[in-house]
Amino acid sequence: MKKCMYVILCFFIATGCGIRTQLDELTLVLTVGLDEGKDGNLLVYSISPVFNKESKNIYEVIRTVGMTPRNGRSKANAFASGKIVGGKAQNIIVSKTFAKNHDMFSYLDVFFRDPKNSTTANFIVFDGPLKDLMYVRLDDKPRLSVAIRDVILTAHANKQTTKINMLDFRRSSLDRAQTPFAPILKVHKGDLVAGGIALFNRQRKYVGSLSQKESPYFAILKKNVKPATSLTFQTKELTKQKEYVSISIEHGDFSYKPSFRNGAFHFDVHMKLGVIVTELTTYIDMKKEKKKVEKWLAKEIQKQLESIVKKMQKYEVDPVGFGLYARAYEYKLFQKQKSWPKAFAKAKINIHPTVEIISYGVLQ
Amino acid sequence: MMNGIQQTVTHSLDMNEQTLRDYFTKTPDLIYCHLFIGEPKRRALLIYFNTLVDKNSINNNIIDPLLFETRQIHTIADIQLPIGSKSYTTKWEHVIQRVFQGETALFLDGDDHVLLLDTQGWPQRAIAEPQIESSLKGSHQGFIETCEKNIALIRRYLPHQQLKIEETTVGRRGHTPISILYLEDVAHPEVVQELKDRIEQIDVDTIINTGELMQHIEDNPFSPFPQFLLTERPDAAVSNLLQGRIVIVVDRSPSVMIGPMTFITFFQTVDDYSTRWMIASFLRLLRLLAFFMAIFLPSTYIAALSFHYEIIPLNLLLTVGESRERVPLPPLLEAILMELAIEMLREAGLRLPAPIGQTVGIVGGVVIGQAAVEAGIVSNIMVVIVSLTAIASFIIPNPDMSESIRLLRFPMMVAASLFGLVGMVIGFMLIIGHLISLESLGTPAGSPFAPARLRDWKDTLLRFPLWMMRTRPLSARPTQLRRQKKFRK
Repeated sequence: MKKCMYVILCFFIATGCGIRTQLDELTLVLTVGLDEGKDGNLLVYSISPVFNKESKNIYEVIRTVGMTPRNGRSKANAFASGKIVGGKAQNIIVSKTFAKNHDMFSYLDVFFRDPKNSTTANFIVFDGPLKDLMYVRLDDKPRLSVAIRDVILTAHANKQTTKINMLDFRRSSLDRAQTPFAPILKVHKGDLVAGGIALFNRQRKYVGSLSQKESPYFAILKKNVKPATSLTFQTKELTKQKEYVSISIEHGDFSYKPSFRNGAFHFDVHMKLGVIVTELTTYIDMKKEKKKVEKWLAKEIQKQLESIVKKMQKYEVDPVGFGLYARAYEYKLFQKQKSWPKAFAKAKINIHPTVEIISYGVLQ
Repeated sequence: MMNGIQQTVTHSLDMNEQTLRDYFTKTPDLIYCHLFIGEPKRRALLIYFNTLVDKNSINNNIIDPLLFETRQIHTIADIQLPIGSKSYTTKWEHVIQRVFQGETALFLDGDDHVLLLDTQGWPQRAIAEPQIESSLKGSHQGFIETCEKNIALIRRYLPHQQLKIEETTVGRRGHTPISILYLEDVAHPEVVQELKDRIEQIDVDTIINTGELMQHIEDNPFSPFPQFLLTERPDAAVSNLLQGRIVIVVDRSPSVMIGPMTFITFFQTVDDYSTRWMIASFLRLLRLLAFFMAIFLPSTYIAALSFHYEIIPLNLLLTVGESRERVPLPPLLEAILMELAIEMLREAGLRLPAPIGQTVGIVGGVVIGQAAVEAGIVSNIMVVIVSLTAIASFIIPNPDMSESIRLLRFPMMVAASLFGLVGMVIGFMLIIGHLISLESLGTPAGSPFAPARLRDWKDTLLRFPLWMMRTRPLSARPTQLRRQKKFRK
């Protein structure tokens, strides 16, 4: 009898799970969109899958106007066919203009504060008004939310953009030594296109972007070259012709060495990149000219890297996290800086890539 | 005996016959055969049940020599018959018991001793392949319903003088003969004594089957888990004997009982030891996985759909959502409906003759599987889960353990639907707690996990190479541990 009592007690203690969230009665919000509405109001879009076979659409888009995202969602409950939950949210999308004018952090607060929301959703910046994305018709694609996620993930794997989830976005926003960034999504002729990187400043406001072409170099700076980073160069300098060479970076060794001289931070960035030549539209005798090609490639890469670093310094943002190295190696001096992005803007960054051609293919 | 009037056989043949006829009324199969034997002729009486004896043996080995006996017969001890097993008694109790067991009793006029001759020969089955526990590499001989034959099968594996057999009977009416087999230098005397004490205490009419005996002597009748192993394989019985366990052979029952057992032994088969160790280890892990799947798979589905939709990966969630779209039942009802359906199918198939059994399979597979989904009563995913659970429960080699596991998933499903994963964890903890405290013949059934005996883990989740298992497992408290020498590096 006593044993039975213990067993029953066990179950009474377990009342924390008393609130059921039966799947059938839920409206799963997979994508949340935030855009600027009229009169300073917020437009909140939520996309959720529809399972009913009799309905024509496989997902529904609910648009509400509210003061905050949670306020918008509460209003959306009036439209939805089930209780709205965000535990499976895949994408949090903000429009570019909205990101430009507002501190992202205060609007994203609800996604961090309420533990029922997913913190691994991708944070995405959309180039254009959000209604273009929300009401896009993708007949040959899966549900919009899944399609958006897949496009971002594929583009990230190909280094055409980057990805950042809510947790990382929060960390890079709160860290003094870096600034947040986000992938950019566009709708081009009725198709989803991911490419480029949105840069946010200390105040979590959108300040500028890196183009799709610059994205692979951003990945290299972030030491993220695997599985393969593909680059294409014009060989004019090398062969005097307008021909192309494509390489794929297979692995890299990186070292970031910060120092402080003459009132500014210096960074010596050394990287050894192992590349495979994947395409060559002209003839170069690789056997003989390997060293020369390697040197030329290193120079080209250096040029590009320096230009994006300049861009970041111009915007006073540090999405790469140079500040992390500064803080690790020069802690006292780092702590003295009032604002790291400002100090970063003044810093001198020397990038010295060396390229080693591992293979130039099976053809000669 | 005989209403307490007569205990012993008298000298008078007529009186003895009268006693017998008074005792055995309405027994047409009891044969009274009057003979005149020896020179000069003396009256003798042969009685036997013609349903329980080998008639050839009686005709050729008893009646024929007796008829042609030419010597003078003074006492019954003078009678020489070509039968190996014979004994004398003066007690009625013995006579009647033996006659019931198929022996033939010979009364001689003027002698109060009765000659009992072994002429047993009742209908019996030939030794055949074990039906329930078939194996790939093990022997293809299974136990049958005759105790002697079963002991013979075991003795063939263990021709050793330390294999001791103790005989006793159970049941006031049935007098079911029971043989207790053990290796005297390995089995712990206390465990053997405990078993004998428990068997002695049984006071029933009879036991029809080994399973009945098991229920009378098991340690915890309220446990869902079996505490004795029933097997119809002689090789399995011998392998357990060698681990210091005790084998109980029950006459008239085709399976023998083995104890004390541990939980993990129900997941071991004879094939494990005759296949190479890597494959055997893989199969062990597979069975362990099946154990968890059989208990937890439907409850996980219910918990995930009722409380924790977040733990389902998105793509699966969309699939589940689509397939559950038309289902009118909550996950618990849906799962219980399907689980009950498959249990019914199994039970129906079990009792039906093979040709009709196929029909059950078709009806079950097509109607309940396909049609129920198309009708929108259950979801596709549920059908997959139910099938996986059923297959997982069939992988467990011991039918008793397999059934108890199948039973356990129902309380788990209810706990999952009430409290989600928390309820499942509580249920799991209760099972583990129960297993740890469970005993078999006074030895811990959770061994070698609780109490932890690391040396014995070699033959649990993985099966280590045979030459590494040099000691007997401690679970049965063997008095002699050494199993083999270190003869290989």
